[in-house]
Amino acid sequence: MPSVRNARIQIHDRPTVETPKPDGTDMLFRCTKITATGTADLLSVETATPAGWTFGWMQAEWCETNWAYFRGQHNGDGSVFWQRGRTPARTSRACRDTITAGVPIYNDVTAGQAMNLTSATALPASLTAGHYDKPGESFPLQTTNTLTGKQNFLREAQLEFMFCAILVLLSPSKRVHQLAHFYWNVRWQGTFLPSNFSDLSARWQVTLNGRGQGAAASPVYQGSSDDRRFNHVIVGTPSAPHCNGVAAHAASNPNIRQSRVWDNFDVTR
Amino acid sequence: MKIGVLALALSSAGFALAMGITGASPAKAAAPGSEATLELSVSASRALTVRNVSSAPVRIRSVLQVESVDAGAGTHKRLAVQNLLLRSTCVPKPETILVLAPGASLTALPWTGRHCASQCDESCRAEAEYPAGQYRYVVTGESGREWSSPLFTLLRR
Repeated sequence: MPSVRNARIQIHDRPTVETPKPDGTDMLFRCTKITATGTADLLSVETATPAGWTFGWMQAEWCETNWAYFRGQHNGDGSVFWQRGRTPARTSRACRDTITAGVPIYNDVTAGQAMNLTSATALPASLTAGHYDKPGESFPLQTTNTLTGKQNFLREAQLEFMFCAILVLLSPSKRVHQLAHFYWNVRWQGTFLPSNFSDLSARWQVTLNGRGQGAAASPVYQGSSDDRRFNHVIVGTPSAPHCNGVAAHAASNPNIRQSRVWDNFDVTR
Repeated sequence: MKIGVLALALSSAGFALAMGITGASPAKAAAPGSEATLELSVSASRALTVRNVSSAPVRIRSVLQVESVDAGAGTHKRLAVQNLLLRSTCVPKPETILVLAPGASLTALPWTGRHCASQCDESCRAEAEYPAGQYRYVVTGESGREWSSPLFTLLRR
């Protein structure tokens, strides 16, 4: 076991969600960035040298809500429900959130987000790694209801992305030592109405569902998350589902239900 | 393999505008070799323009790549930026292979400096911002031949 002291996480920028807004053919759901810095003092490792050890972040997205309801201008134009948060659209409930698919560390592409130790790393060593994320999503402003042949327009949507960011020390054999962690999330829920059904570039009325929209970051907890809802994508197989890939698949292949009228759909399935 | 043909009528200003076709911009880089085929230029807003300066159609991949460049050290590193394409609009996405007619050009949406939402809004859970510095685009032909753009600067955000 490595000997680590003073593992700390400082959250700098806490995310806030922005009011959804139409842009071109889509309604955009954006948030501001979350940033944090993780630090720790590494005193010793069980290998001969620190070569091959990595200090950085892992992140799991352990739950996602992602659906939209479209309806026509008139009752007889029908309605359409898009579900992206359930199978088969969403291929995995929990996923490992990384920039690069198939790797454990969240960000292995930009400087300062992880430290790759070498045989020249002198111990004890002060380790620092930054964390940054800014998730986003979109829904089309309209879709065709194939039962009625009419355009149905985005009427309501709910999105919830739940994450856990974990400061880790990774051994050369990819064993994960969790040092500290925090949970965070971003959520949107609102209803939408175009002011002109034949010109979707005109103003849209966006009505937020007060408590359905927001963002949060938990306190920082020391040690392992050991959360069975997502532990398997952190310490489990190297081929854990890749969140960007899971999200892109769901966005391109939503589960679609349609009705010939303005229907009520069960959003839980 | 899907192929999109940019059979460009340069005299048609309206069509040219719709396809993001522009005139040449000041900074240019022609491909090395005895015969220049593509001329690449980058605008101040980081928009890449690819112009076919040869007398034959050129088949290029729509996937666009970016390299960070350390001009002082003379080194460069290819980045794994996602969703970066030779496209002038977010939708529809271009075909895998584009055919650029002789004399035609295509201006791509600029790189945002991000990893996932690199040009347009995407379904991103993990996102990264690349640091300020110098970069260049790399256009790849269907056969694998590459053309590098002039350097451009990504400013601190």
